[in-house]
Amino acid sequence: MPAQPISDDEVIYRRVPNSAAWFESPDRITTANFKLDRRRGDLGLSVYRASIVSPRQVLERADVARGTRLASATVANVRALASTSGAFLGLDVVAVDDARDPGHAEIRGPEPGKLAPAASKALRDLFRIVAITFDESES
Amino acid sequence: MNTAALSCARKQLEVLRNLSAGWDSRGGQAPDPEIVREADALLDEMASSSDIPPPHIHPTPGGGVQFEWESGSRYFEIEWIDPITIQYYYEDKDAGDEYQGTFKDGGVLDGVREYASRVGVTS
Repeated sequence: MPAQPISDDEVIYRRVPNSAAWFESPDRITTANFKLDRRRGDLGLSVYRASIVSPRQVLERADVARGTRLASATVANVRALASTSGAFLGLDVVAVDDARDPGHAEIRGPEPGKLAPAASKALRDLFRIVAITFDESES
Repeated sequence: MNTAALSCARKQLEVLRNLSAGWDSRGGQAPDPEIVREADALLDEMASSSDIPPPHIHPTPGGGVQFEWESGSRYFEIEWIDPITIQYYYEDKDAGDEYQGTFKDGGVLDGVREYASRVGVTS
């Protein structure tokens, strides 16, 4: 079955590890957060769709380290990214969710499994840390 | 790089050395000890160069390490893909310039000196 298309106006979340251990300013995001694990064979960068999962659901999974933050961007802005020299990066956001991982999607480059340093840098510059306030009514 | 900056950088590498697999909540691999040793050795070389500012130091999901320098519109990073392969990326947004490539044997310190000094003091 083909993957459900993701519209340009959707918002996506990317988990960002707590940087305190690396002596960083709390609001600084590193490009390392937007790199693939080549050895594991990642095809794309894991993100979560705000239309399907809440910030709390993204952060409260059992495997998420304490202090992890969320950064967000719109799908249209990811797809429109160009490098500093003006070259179109050709990034896309595709749904890869299943019953165990609802809302999961991936940012992929023109060649799945590869992401140019310029793409990692452009993504880092695009994503913004989300100030999360959990609503008490949210489960 | 002054003594205080070198000491701080060493502490950061020590933190990386002790990371466990899954440190990024996405199944990221623990930094390769050999890569951390190579990064430490480069820090030693950088320590003798007063024109190289201290870097930001980060683990990468594939078990690598990267150094970053950033100031205003200028940015430079090196990433150990494996113990002998270092990928670099430099950009200057104001000038619209970007360069990327791989440092070959013996050219790392000269490359870092050239690009990191272009970036200037990290912020």
